[in-house]
This record gives sequence, structure tokens and C-alpha cells, in this order.
Amino acid sequence: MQFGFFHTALLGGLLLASLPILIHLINRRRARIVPFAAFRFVQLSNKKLARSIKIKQILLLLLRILLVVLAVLIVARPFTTPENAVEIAAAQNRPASRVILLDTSLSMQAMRDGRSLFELARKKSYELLQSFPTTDLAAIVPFSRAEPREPTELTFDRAALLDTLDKITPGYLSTDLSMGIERALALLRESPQELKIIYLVGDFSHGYRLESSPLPGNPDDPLLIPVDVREGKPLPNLSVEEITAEKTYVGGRPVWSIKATVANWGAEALEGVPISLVSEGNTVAGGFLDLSPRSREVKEFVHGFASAGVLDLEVRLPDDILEADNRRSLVIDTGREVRALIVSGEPSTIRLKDEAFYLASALDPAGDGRSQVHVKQVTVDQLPGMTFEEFDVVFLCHMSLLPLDAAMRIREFVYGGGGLFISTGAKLAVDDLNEGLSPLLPGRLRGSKAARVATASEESAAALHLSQLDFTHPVFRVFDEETAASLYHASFEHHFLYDPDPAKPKTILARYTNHQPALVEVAYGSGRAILYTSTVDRQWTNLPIQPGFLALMQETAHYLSGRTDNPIPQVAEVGSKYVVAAADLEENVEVLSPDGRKTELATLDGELQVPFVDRPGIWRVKGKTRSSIFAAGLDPEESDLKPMESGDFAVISGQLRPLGQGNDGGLRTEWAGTLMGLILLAFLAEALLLRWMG
Amino acid sequence: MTAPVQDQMLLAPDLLARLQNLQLKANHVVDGVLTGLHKSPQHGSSIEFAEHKEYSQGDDTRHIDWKAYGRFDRFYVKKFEDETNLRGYLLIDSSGSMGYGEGDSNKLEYARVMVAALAFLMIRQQDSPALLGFNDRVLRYMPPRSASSHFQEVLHALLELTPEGETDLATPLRFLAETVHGRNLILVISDLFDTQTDIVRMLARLKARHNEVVLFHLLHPDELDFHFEHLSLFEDMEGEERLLADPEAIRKEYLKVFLGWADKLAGDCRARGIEYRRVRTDETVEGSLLSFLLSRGG
Repeated sequence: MQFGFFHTALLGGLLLASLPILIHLINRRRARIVPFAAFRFVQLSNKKLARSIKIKQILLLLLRILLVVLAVLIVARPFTTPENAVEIAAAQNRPASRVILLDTSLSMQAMRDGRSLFELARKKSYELLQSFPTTDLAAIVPFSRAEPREPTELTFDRAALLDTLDKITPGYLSTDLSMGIERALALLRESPQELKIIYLVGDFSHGYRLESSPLPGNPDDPLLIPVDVREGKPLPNLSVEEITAEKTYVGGRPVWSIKATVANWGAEALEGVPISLVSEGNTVAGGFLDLSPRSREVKEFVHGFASAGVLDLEVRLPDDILEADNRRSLVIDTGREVRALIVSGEPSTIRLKDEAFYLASALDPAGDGRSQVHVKQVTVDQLPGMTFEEFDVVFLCHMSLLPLDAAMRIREFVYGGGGLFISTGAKLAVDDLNEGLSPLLPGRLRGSKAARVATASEESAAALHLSQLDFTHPVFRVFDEETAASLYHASFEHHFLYDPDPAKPKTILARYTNHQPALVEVAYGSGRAILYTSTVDRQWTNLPIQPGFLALMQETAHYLSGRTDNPIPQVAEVGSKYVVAAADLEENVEVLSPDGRKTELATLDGELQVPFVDRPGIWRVKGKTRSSIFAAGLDPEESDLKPMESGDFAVISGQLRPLGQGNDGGLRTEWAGTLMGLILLAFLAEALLLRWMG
Repeated sequence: MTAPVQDQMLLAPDLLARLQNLQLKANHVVDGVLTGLHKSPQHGSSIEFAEHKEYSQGDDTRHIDWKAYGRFDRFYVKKFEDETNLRGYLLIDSSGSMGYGEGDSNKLEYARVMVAALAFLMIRQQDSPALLGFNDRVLRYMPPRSASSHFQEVLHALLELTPEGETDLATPLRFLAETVHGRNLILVISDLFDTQTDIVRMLARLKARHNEVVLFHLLHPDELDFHFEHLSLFEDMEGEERLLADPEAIRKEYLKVFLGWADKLAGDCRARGIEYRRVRTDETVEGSLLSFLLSRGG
């Protein structure tokens, strides 16, 4: 039996129940002081009567409070509705249509007393089905956000309904009560029976907190009966809400900063919660977290991944009542291994004096071949007969006279998708340069420009610096204003002037402080080239000894190699679709879900899609030539298992609706008449009590 | 009767006014009483009484009553009439509880007028009134005298009494028992709110010593009727205690307890031969006295 009021707001009048108490207290305060000679006899009389008088006075006070409370309750118009099917059946013999709305959202996977909430909900639904009269129509509607709609209908066939109930499983989606109600209403709308009841069987956590009743408020709205399987009990839960990754350089070495946001949804503080970072199935880092009640903390892991390429990561927490949200996946692209050829135009047997010394050191800092960039260094003399297809990018340093054959083959290599980096040199004649590299240059060079000669008082003030860096470009992506400081700090004494070729589309990536281009990018066919108008050794600049030089050269190598086209981690939200990248658009593509299940792809609007990402984890898209992966994450709000307040229940079940606006099917029992009778009895009792008290 | 000029010079104006007022009231009462007595069919004075004493060595032989010798063949000494004048001990309660009541119904005020009138009556009859004011101790004692100036002194003493302290009749009655000799008239005027003393037993002792004892039980109508209506905080006039009570709720019980106590007191007195007179302060003093005197045969 559930209680409700048609005018709940009027219950505020219950405060009036304090009036008799106030009057009693005021009367006590206003008592007349009477100095009395026969005080002893008053004392004696009062002592004899005190107990009975007190009892009578308390009775009188309670009666008067009761009168006020009853009066307020009558005005608020209380009613009751039967809570379960048995009561309803007992209260009403008319045939009814009943829909069991069964919550299949992620939170229903939470465990309570060794059983999942969904198991409890299924048991409750089973009991409900069993209790429905066989003459009633019934249906079971599972609901959660974006649940694929399976055809369901009202039926008398209980066996079929029980079979359906057995097949329903909880998913990983968030709750969408409105959608569930909508589906139930659609079913009931077609029902010929007057009495319509929706049983809402769920956990009544976050997704149930609505601002208004999900019922549309029509006169034919069905009766909504909440069935809370958690029975309002708190279910403390931890979840990994978010995971982000960012590439950075520490000590000249590329590393990744992985940040995981962990939420404690429980009401108790937690200390020393273990957290770990797993890559490709191996735990690579760990730590502990202290979490305040209902708070979030961010844990950062800084890790350098030895292997190159697309990696799947997972942040894990210990198992708790809801395991699915204790881990969250992410995909990062650490870049593939790059094969770089450095052609040094000014080689030297003394490594430090070699034109390419600083560049080679930047691309392979340890020199042990463990870098993602594998460097091969040659001289001009070695170029004839070399094939460039075994390389991803070619660096031409301090090069003027290049054999034409080699130049043409390099050009061919770039047009075919390779990368080219050209740096100038102090000993180069501009005409030689223009002539020797003409097939490769994005424009013409016209002599070198020296920085203004410093006066005795200025000393270094005359030097040029880099400016206007394009941080949106991939080669500068790892830099921000702070980490780019070392680039800005580099000084340049000379550089070549560059005249752009209007026929060649180009991008200026950086300029000097005199506004002359420092880095110019131009596209050739499928490949791209970057011209650097100063030197990669220290003849014209101290850039090579700046910490930022290493990151700049490595990012440049990756960019020119074409390995950083799609570096942004691929993420999808459970319950949504995932569009497979256009590059992956090919036939015979297969998708494997995190549990190893093959999933069909759909082609919509020219896009190849995973139409419904139904679970969290790493999804793998495999094509004939290329493969990709993406990580699917849960709705963080679904981890909030805080129970609902009683007011929220009232909103859901629409108890705030005025009388007559709901199809209560005559099930609501009004109590105003009974209360009126009680008031009369209370008045009578008061009169008798007053008489008794004399 | 007016206060002597010398006394008037010594008295403060307000006290003098009160004194004159009390005297006037006493005169008025006595006039009323005497008028009442004249109208009464009973005449004569019961207090004029001749006494004989058997002769003993040392007695004046001039006073031997030879007539009595002739009749009884024994010597009796005849005592003079003035020696047998009545000595009336007027005991007035001046405890805190006697301060209850407003105006003329104030118990102490009522008792003052009563005592003053009785004293005046006694002096007028050549009797000797004595005054004893008390609460839980003897506050003021004036031995019996029949001089007319004694009345003024009694009035002064009466006005000096203020209602304070607790009621304890044991002390004044013990004092009286040790002080008085012979036959006396002892009039006790009190509300008798004494929880400790067995009043009746002590009065009975005085009675046993050939004293005539009259107990004026002075009560205010509030004490007898208890007609309070609203919730009241009652304060003990002889202590610090307070009590919040609903008079309407306890009236019945109060009257039962109070009247039970007063009636028992009256019954005990009568059983011991003590004259008990309940006096309400809403009655006139002359009415109360007249009733008393008539009951004694005028």
C-alpha cells in the first residue's frame, strides 16, 4: 500500500500542529503569581492530583494536536494506492494491461548481497508475472539508453513472457527512463483494457532523478508503480571516469602522460586504492589513490613506450560491486618506426664537426638503435646507386651540388609519399643551391641574410630568433608556449632568403624575428618536403644545442614519414555508433568487439560504421590492408549509484498530479471521509476529557 | 479616646494616622458590640467574681470572712474584688501568612482591629488586657494592665507588628504557660498555619490550668473558598517555594483537604473544652465579636 496526497504542498500546514503546544507554553508563561497563605494545602492537593492532571493535560494536548493534524490531512486529501499486483487484483477485479519496465542499464550489474541487481530485478519481475491474473494482458519491456528496439507486444501468453524474461541480460548502457516509459505507453495505448499499470523495476539510482514525471500527464496515463530492487540501500562504487593521453618529452626522450580521473561515488573516504596502467595486457605502471567521499581524483602516469605504433591502454582499479566501470581503455598512436636517411654535405671524420652530427643525435639520442627513428647517414658520394624506397624520410644537409640522377630519384621518392627535409649551409653558394636542388626546392633562394652586426654595447642583441610558430602543425604539436621557450631562445646569425614559387602551394611553419621564413612546407604528390633556411649544425645558429631541437627533429621525421596522419586516440561512447575512418573504407572489413565477437558493419551515408557500440573496451577493425582500433568508454554518470530520495519517487510515479488527471482505474482510495470521522471522535474525546477534568 | 498629646508629638504622621484609624475602628467595633449587648436579653457581667481562700499563716487577719467561718467553722480569707479582675491574654499571630488579603480583609489588619476592640472592652470593664504578638517567636509582650493608658500602648504595639516569618504557636504558648498564673482568659487569634505544633494539646494544657482558652481561627475567604480561576504560580508566604497549578483542577481536592484540616482542628478543640471560633475576614469584626460575646452570655 502506498500513500500519497493530492495537495502535497498543503502538508506544510502540519506546522500548525505546533500551535496547541505554543499556546500551552504561552499560558504557562502567563501564569499569575499568587502569594498564598495556605500554600501547604495547595501543594498537598496538587501533589495528590499532579499525576492524573498531568496525564489529562497531556491527553488534551495530544488530542488538540491530533485535531490540527487531521484537519491539515483532510485539506491535503490523502489517498492510498495498492503497491503490488496482488493488492491491485484484490482491489480491482477489472481486467488490466500490465507492462513490466525492466532496467537493463549498466548500474543493474552492481552486486548486492552476492547477487546482481539485475538478477534481483528479474526475480521480482518473475514474481510479478506470476501474480498477474491470467485474464490480464502483460508485456516486458527492457530499457536503457539507445537499447535496440526489439518487437514486443501485450500478450496473455505467460510462458512466452517468462521465456523473454530469461533471455534479457543487463548491458553497459546508461539509464533512459523517458524512453522506457515511452515504449510502455506505446504498448498500453493499443490496449483495449481500461486499467493500465506500469511496473518500473530497477535500481532507482542516477538515471531516475528526473525533474518531472516521465508520464505525459494525460488523463489516460497509466498507474506507475516503482519497484526498487536495491530497496534504497547505498551501493558504494569506484569508477574510472576518464582517461587522457598526451605525448611529451622528458630529458629528450618522448614519453606519454596518461591521466586517469577516478571517482568515488560512495559516502565513505577511501585510502590507498591501488590503480594500475596496463598496456597490451602488461602492467606498466601503478600507484595508489586517496579518495574523499563523493569526490574525484586525477592520477597521472608518465610512461615511455618501447614499442611504436597504435597501442591499447587500460587503467584498472580493484574490483568492487560494479566491475565494468573499474577499468577504462584508451588507444594511443606512438607513431611507427621511421627509417631516415641523412645525407651530409659536409662530412667530417670528427663527429662533432660533421654537418649532420646534431641532427643524427636528435633523431637517435642514445645511438643504440632503440629510437623510433632509425638513422642511416651517408655522404653525397654514396648516393649514386642508392634506392630510397627503403627509407621513409631523407634529410639533405648542407647540400648544393646533387647528382641529377640522385635528385630525380629523390623527387620521385617524395612524389611517391616519402618525406624530404632540406637544410642549408654556411659554405653554400646560392646559385649552386638553386641549381643543384631545383627539382626539390619549394621556391628559390636568394642569398644569405646576416643578422645585424652588434655594436659594442649591444653584443648579442642583434641576433635573430624564431617567431610565429604554427602550433597547430604536427611538427609543433608537442610544444606549448612554455616548452617552446627553448626554440624561441635559439639565436640565428645567418639564414637564406626564400622566394616562394607561386605555382607550389606551401605553408610557412615558422619565421625569424625579421619575418623571413624559417621553415617552409610544400607538398609533392603524395609526399611532402620541408625547407629549413638555416643550418642543422652550429655554424649559423645555436638551435641544435637547444632541448627543443630534439623534439622538433623527431616530430619532423615522423611527420614527413607520413606516420602521424591520424595520431588522435580513437574513442567511442558505449551506446553510440562509431564511424570507421575513411582510410579504412574497403571491402571485407571485420570488426571484433572487446569480447572477441564479430560485429557487422553498416554502410550509412557513404560511411562505414559500427552501428551500435554495445560494450566498453578495445574494438578492432581489420581490413585487408590496414587495421585500426578504437576504445569504447562507459557513461560516467551511470556509475553514480546513490539511492534516490523519497521526493524523486514521488516525481517518477506522478503522485503530485491533481486528482482526476491520472488513470487510477479506481484504485486510489481517498481517506478524507475517514479522517473526518476521526476528527469528530477527537472532538468528542476532548469534550469528555474536559468534563472529566472538571 | 484619643492618644495623649505627648505621644502624638513622638509619633510619625503616618503612624499617628494609622493609630487613630485603628482606635476609631476599635471604638466603632466596641460601640457596635455594646449596642448589640444592650439589645440582648442577657445582662450582667460574668467576669465579676468573688473568691475565697482558706486562711494560712501570714494572711491579713482583717480579711477573714467571719460569715463563712460561721457557716463552715473554718477560716476563709476574703479577697478584694479588684484583685479578681479578669486578665485577658490577647495572642495575635504576626507570621507571614497573616499578611494575606487586601484592605480590611487582610488577616493581620483584621486581627489588629479585633485585638484593639477586645483590649478596649476589657479596660472599659476594669479588666487587664495583655498583648502577645508572635510568629515563630515572641515578638512583643505587654503584661496585663487595666490602666486606660495601657490601651494606647497596646495600639502602638499592634501597629508595630508586620507579617513576617513562619507560624509557630509552640513558642508563645510555652511562654504563656511559664508566665501566667491563676485564672486567665486566653484569646488566640491566628490562621494556625503551623505544621509542627500540636496546637490543641498545648492549648489544652493551658485550659487544664483553669484558664479559659478561646481560639479565633482567622481565615481569608480565598483560603476557605479557593475561587481562583486561571493557571497560577502559587508562592509560599512563609517560605521560598513556588508551585504552578491549575486552581480549577485542584479546587475540589483543596477544599477537601483544607476544610478537613480546619474541621478536625475545631473538633479537637471542642473535645478538649477549648472554644474554637472560625472567623472569616470578609465578616465584620463587630459581628464576629458580638457573636463571641453573646455566646459567653453577654
